[in-house]
Amino acid sequence: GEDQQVALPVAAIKSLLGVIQRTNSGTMMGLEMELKQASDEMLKFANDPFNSNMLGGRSHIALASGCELFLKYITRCFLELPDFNECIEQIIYRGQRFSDISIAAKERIASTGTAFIQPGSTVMTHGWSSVVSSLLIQAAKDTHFEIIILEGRPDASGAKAAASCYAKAGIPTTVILDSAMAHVMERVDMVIVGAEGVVENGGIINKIGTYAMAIAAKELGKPFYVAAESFKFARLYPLNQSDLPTMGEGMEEHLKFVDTACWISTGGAYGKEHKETTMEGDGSDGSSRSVPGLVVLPKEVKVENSLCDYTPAKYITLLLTDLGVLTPSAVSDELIRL
Amino acid sequence: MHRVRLWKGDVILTYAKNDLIEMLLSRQEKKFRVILVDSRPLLEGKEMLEKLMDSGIECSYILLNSLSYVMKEVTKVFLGASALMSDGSILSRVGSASVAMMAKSHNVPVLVCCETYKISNRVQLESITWNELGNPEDVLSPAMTTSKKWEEERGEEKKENVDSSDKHFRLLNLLYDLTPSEFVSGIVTEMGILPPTSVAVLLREMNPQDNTFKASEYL
Repeated sequence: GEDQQVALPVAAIKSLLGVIQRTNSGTMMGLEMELKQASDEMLKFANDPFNSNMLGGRSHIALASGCELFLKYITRCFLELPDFNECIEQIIYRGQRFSDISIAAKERIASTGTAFIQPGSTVMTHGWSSVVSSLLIQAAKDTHFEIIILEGRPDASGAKAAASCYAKAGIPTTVILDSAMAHVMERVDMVIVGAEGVVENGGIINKIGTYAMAIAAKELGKPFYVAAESFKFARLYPLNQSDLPTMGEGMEEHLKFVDTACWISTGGAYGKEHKETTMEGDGSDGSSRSVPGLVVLPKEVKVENSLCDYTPAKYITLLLTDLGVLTPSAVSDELIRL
Repeated sequence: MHRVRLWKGDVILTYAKNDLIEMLLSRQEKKFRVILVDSRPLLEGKEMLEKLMDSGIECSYILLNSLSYVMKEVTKVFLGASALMSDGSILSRVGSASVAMMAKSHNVPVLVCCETYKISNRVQLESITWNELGNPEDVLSPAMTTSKKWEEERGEEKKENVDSSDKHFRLLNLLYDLTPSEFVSGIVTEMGILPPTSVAVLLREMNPQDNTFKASEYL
């Protein structure tokens, strides 16, 4: 199932471990420099817009925070074990366990999270998060509840998640338009989302639309929970939406508004040329594109397509993490200690 | 301190004088402008204004009265601190609390720049008790330009129309005030940026020898 999909930070840490195992450096400083270089290379790769499709269009924040935490762990390890070889052994051991730790983290979050879902409740979620889906599937084994999920434009991740994951697990699922979120919020008992990154003040960075959902939930008195592993805690302190790290230039060109119903009908041919139906210009200004449902805009109209938004801590009720159930202000406390 | 980065076109508001903020602003690379707010009787902002202009930063200078007028253009507020209480409230130059409150009502983030040695394990609930008093006469003294103009026009020294020896009259020149933590978006220290709720944790981490409370003794 989704266990085969290795989380981005886990893959990154595996690469860093590779660097450690192959190092010729005999000192901690030399090794740290090599690791810093390696993680900078990875981040550069992740930032490049051409590679974003490979990463599934996800932000690189989890990658950056995972690398940084691992590098910090290495520095701390060296302070405790001054002998270079002993330290390396410990780091490799810990690093290899990291992927197990990350899977165990998901399981831990899933088991603490099930207590939050009351029988007969309606849960709203957004985006495709393997942590949230494992939590909800785990809860479904003991409790009966239903899910409302937003479509999740432009990548239709909500529609994908609903169709492939929850229906298979037998949870009654409803897909709604992104814009219908506030309209439906009064019927919902709780909101739960994942996170690309958890920032220092306890806020989160997640798929675009999460901020709006958090504001609506707060206004209507619905609890807003975030399920995230601790390696997603990033050393970022955004003050507002425009303070987010940019994904790199050129992302805007890749935006094409796709009708998610067409995503299903074109078999996922999002943005690609659909061979069968090529329609000629139908008399309007622009000629129709070949993928049905694609909206063609005049060149003068600018398009903005942020992938992520920032939800401040005050909208978040609790964070469900592998370190336990935390209030947003506790995130900074944990980071101070790391 | 290097974690604070300003964006191009930022409008920074700062109050009175603070060396940390002056250092932070003069080291930024992107183009931004500063609105410097000052207040009587100290008018400390003038010194800060000189230093910022020497660094080549575009500055505006206003008194505290015009604050509500300029606040809608401001993108970030930087304040200094004399002390940091362990609940995250800030003890700083009198007038800072007003600046922070005004910023909050306009949804402008407020960053307080403060070194960690200024953290106090005290919690203050109001600003009168532990404050300091300046010279009360300073509150009444007229601005230099006003009295000069009066002398030129009327040929006599400007007299106070208030008799400060009157027993019904009290002068109060407070030097500090307390900014509640809910007006503060982040505290910039040499250890990075913290939310106000984490000040107590930082105090604990920095002074492990002062941890006399052990939960295990009570359970």
